[in-house]
Formats: sequence, structure tokens, C-alpha cells
Amino acid sequence: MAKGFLGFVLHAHLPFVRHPEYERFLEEDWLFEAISETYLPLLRMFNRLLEDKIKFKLTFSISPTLSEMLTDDLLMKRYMAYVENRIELGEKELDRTKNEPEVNRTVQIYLDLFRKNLEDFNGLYRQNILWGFRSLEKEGVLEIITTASTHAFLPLFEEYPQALEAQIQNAVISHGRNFGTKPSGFWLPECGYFPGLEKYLKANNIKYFFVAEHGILLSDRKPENGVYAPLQLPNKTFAFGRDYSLTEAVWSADTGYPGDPVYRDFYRDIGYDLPLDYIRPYIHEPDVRVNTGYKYYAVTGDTDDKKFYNSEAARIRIEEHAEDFIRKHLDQIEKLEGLMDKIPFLITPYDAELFGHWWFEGVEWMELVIRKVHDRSDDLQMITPLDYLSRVPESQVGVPSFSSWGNKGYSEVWIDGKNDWIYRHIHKAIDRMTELVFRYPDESGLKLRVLNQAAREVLLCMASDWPFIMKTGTTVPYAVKRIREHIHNFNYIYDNLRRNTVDTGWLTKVERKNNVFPDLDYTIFGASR
Amino acid sequence: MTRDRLSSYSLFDLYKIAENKGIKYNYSDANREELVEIILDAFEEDENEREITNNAAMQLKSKKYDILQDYELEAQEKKVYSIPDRYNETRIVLLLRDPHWAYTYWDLNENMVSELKNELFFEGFFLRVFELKEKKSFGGDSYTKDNILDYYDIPVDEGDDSWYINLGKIGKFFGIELCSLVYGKEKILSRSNIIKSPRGFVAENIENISNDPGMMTLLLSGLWDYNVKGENVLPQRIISIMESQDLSFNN
Repeated sequence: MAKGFLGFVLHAHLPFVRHPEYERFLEEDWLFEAISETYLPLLRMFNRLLEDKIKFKLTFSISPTLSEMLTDDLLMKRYMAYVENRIELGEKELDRTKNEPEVNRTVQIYLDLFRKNLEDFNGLYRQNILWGFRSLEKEGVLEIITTASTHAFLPLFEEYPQALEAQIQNAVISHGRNFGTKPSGFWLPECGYFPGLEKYLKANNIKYFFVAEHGILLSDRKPENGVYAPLQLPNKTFAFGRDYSLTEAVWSADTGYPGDPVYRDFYRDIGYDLPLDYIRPYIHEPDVRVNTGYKYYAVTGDTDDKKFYNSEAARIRIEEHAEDFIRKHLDQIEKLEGLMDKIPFLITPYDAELFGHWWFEGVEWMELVIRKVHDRSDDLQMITPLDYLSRVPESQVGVPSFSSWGNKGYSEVWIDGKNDWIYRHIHKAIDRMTELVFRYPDESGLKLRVLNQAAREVLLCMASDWPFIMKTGTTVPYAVKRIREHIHNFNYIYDNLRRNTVDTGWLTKVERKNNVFPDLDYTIFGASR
Repeated sequence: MTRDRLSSYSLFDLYKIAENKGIKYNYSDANREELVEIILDAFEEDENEREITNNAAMQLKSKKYDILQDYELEAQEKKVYSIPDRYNETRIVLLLRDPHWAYTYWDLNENMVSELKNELFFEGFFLRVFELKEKKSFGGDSYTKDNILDYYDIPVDEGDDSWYINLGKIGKFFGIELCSLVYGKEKILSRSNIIKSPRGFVAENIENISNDPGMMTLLLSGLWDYNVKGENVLPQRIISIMESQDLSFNN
């Protein structure tokens, strides 16, 4: 029997971004970069482990908006074009750098990555990579869970039960359509929890969810086992808390692994470094320089004089960092020995896109960690929350505290001077949507289409991504535009319904653009418990 | 990179960027190099603020949206979607931000405002922040005399529509009334929902916990790697709890 359980939780999410009105759209690259650098490399890594008969199991959350995009014909066609374009660039780069062996070797790494991506995407997964995740779940190595439909930060909708129900129930429906299963677990967006949320989760047959460590530490009863065992809530759902210090080993800006000088630098990209005439076909029009994914420098340190990336040097460091991560787990387990009456469960949740995209070596690091855990099965074992609950039925009891994993642990990232203006509009849209369900409880034909689109627009404007971007300042004008667009669309529908008119041409256009959740039933906004 | 890009812009475009960033500049003294430097400083200041106000998890998360290094310069939104500023209804909403702060927004019906302003002795609007004993369930009135523990007022202008409220106490219920004042007479225009600030839980004496296995596990859960005596390195949320004079212990 292992001395401790290790619970990797990866949360894959991107907001719904789809712009058929443009031939190419900048923010769609979020998805294409994540597929290329994170999702496909992770799938390959999991399959390698399976082939080598390595015993492992982890929890993988895939958001409904991401699932919908990964099965969208237009976006997947665009992804093909994207990856073909990157292969073409790689081939040109191989030739351009043929007299610079240090760089040339790195070019080859990227070119291999993109070629393999194209091969897997078309051959193995037939342009639907969700099949890859489904098949891993069937193999018993992944437990796929869901999250709120559009990744709403749920504590800010505590007073809107109909919206909570819509976010959760529709997510379970979308999960069923995309994965053919009923999810047992739920990733609370940004670990945002408030006491009472479990009622809506339970109503949708969710058995467990994750919270930030202080959610458990500050629960209404003293949690004897801290975050090392779940908290059973009065309604028999379970809250699992993350291990802060182990998570920080990867996250910390000062001491986290990804910032090591030998690792690949994220910022230096040939999209910015090479002459416009050369790079033009691989950036956005009109001559907007963007990341191409071809990055040849190492982090090096706080200097503009970056060293070339050396994958061999990085490999040595990955090995050291994987070993360090295991050692940190064992240290923690050793400290816990004698303090608990059960085997501790150490949970480390991460945004999946951190691996491969931001931390280029992250996928390889995780593979090494999993192999090392396999080699030390006397000490450590990788399991999921469901596994844990079947092995350790006795839990500490309590209700977690209001909490999130955002800055300072509460809502300040999502309510801030930069984004607080959005809530009066979103709350109003939710109220009005509920009013529409009351006024039109059973519609069909054109009115049904209108009402379903109204519900889609409300869900889309609730996404936590837009206030997050406004606060962190990456693509603020786009985030503002998206909130305004969905509120505008909803209000237009609402006003038209009050006048008993329908703008069919407009509706068709909006339906084609914001086509997320094709089977959404607007009456979901009347189903509050 | 940004400097090169800024330098390639016309003076007119630089003005626009400076204006968008809220930079006050005497345009009659236009000096291209100086303007580029001022804009760069503003970008750097924003960047620093983001680093300070976002933890590691949030900073890393933001990388997945990071596709363009000079986004602020490149983003040109063609379509502007119109949305109303307000919804012409009288309503106040309270949202919990953290154990010490809440955010409130409100709206006022225009006709009601006109009527109030036509009153001879209209004095203005104010918010009344209540600390409540509990939140009555099933729609019961939580603002009864025996349920109100304390309250204070914040005068607001007609043009205001939101406010950050310092709650002051953790583990307590709070609500807000939006009120008007006419000739010394108060009138409740709208009442908010009721929120509860999260309660705290921490050992009474952090020096003497080594004999308590339960507390040791708690420390390992989140505090082990911090020097518990050095407050500067403790997470803000823990500092907030420890500093509070109103802890609700449960040991």
C-alpha cells in the first residue's frame, strides 16, 4: 500500500471564440496554439505511457466551450490551415538556418511537433481530438470531468439560481453529448466556491468538486485532515482541496520550474524577430506580428542577451525538476505521518494550457513525474477523487468557506475597477431571460430559435474569461467587445420579443456565428431549484 | 519591441494612443521622442501593476491569451455594440469581493429621480450599510430592529452608480439600502440582497500548535512553507484573518 496518493488535475479551458465573419481571426489562435502545443502533445504522452504499461490515472477537466470548439467544423478546418502554415514556415526555417546548427536543431523540434500534430489530427483522430480523450477514459487512465458551461465565476451569481442551474445542467448535457458519459466531478471555474453551491451540483448528480486550500482550512468545522482528505458536505458531495505548496513548485514566478534559465523562452518568437517580407505569410493581416510558435531562445535570465535554446540541457533539468517534485511529495507525506488516520491525498490542480504552451517542457516533465511515481509505487500512487472515495469512505465533515484560487483567494480578480461594470448588464440579462421563460414557457418554430439564441447569449456573456482579461490586461479591447456583443444581442432579442417581432435575417446570422450548444433549451433558465 | 513599434507610428496615432491610455500631455509641445517615452512608461506602469495585483496562478493563466505582444497598439475594433448605461429601474445589488470588501451597484428610475428633485427640500441620496445578525430564510424580512446589529451611511451623488464597501467584520451578514433624504426625512428606495463575509478559522496561539496533530495538518495544508512569524510572506488572506480583531475561533 502506498504511503500517499497523488492527484494530478488538469483543467483545459478556452472561451468560445469563433468568427466566421472573418477569414482569419487573431483570437482563434488561442485554440490553435493550445491544440498544437498542449492537447495533442498531452494525448501523445498519455498514449506513450499506456504503451509502456505505466500505471497512472489523473483527472482531466475539459470545459464545455472548449469541447464545442474542438468539434466545430469551421474551427477544425481552420486549425488544419493553421498547422499546415506552420509546417511550411518550419520548412523555410530549416533552410534559412542551415548554417546555424544550434538554431537548426530547435527548428527541427518544432517542425516535428507540427508534422506529428497534423498526422495525429487527421489520421488518428479524424479531426476530432475529443476521441483521443474519450479513448483514454475508456482505457481507465483519465477521469474526464466538466465545468460550468461558459466557465462563469459562480460566486458572483449566487443570487441567480436559474443561472447557476443553467451553467451546471447545460454543462452536464454538453459533456454527455461530447463524451457519452455523465460526469461525476466538476471543476469550479477558478475554484470559485460559495456555501450553497453544492446544492446545484448535487441536483445534477455531481459527486465531487475542487476548492482552494483555504476553502477547506476555513470551513465551518475544524478539518482535522486539512487538505489531505476531502470534506464531506451535508448533502453528501465532496470537496477536495489543493495542496498549495506543491502547486507553487510549478507556479511560483521566483522559484517555479518553468522559469529555469535553460528552459525555452516564451516571448522571443520569430514572428517579431524576422523581417516583415519574410514572415508576412505567417502573421496576421495587415502586417500584425504575432507569435508563430517558433522560438529559439532559452529563458537565460533577466537580460535581452538571450542564449540559444539547447534541448539537451533542458532535458537534464526536466529530470531534476521531476525528481524534485516527487521529493517534495515524499517530504510532505513524511511530515504528515502520524498526524492522520488515513493515507493522505495530495491534490495538485493546474490549467492544462500551462504545459507545452507556456512551459514548453511541461509535458515531458509530467511524463517523467508519472514514470517516477510508477517506479515508486510503494511510496506513491496516482489516483483520482472517485478512486479515493471508493478506497477511503470515511471523510471529515464540513462546509467549505467562500474561496477561489485567484489573487488573495476570493473574487477580487473578477470584481475590480477594470471589470466591475459588466455585472449590472449580465445580472439584468439573466433576470430578463428568466422573465422570457415565464412569458414563453413552451414555444416552437421561429420563436423557439429566438429564445434559444437569447439563452446562448446570456451564457456567453457570463464567461469568467472576459473580466479576467480586463483585469490582467492581455487582450482587453476584445474582452470588452465580447461582453458588449452578447449583451447587445440579448437586449436586441428581448426588445424585439416585447414588440412581438423577429428579425429573421439577423437571427440566422447570429445563430451561425454564436452557434455554441446546439441543443440548448432556453427553459433551462426557468429551472431554478 | 514596443519602442520600435511606437516609433513607427505617426504623431497623430501617438496622440490617440496617449489619449486612450489616459495620459495627460500638452500636445502643443509635441515632441515625438518624448511622447514615445511617456507612453512606454505608462505601459510599464500597467505591467508592474498587473504583476503586483495578480498571483502566480493568474499570471500564468494570462499567458494562454498572450498571442500578441503589442496588443494595445494593434487592436482596432471595427464594430461597436451599443448597450445601455443603465436600465431605468430602481435597484441595488451587493456582491462579495473578499472578507473585507463588497461591491455594490445600483440604478435609479429617471421618473423617480425627477420627482424627488422636484421636491422643495431634496437633500440627496445615501447608502445605508447594515450589519445583520442573520439572513432570514424564505423571504423573511432581515432588516427588522432585532436583526440589525449596526449600520452606517455613505452619501452618494446622483451620478454615482457603484461603490466599494469596507465591511470591517468577517463572518457577518451585510445588506444595503439605497435611500433618499428630503427635508431630513429618509426614504428607502431599494434594498439589496444580503451577503455573508467569510468567517475565519485559525489557532488561538500559533506558537503552541506543535502538540496538536489536527493543527499541524492544517499548517501543512497551506502554511507550512511560510514563516508564520514573518507576516510579509504570508498570503494576504491569512494576514487579513490574523489581523482581524473579530475572529470566530472553533477549536
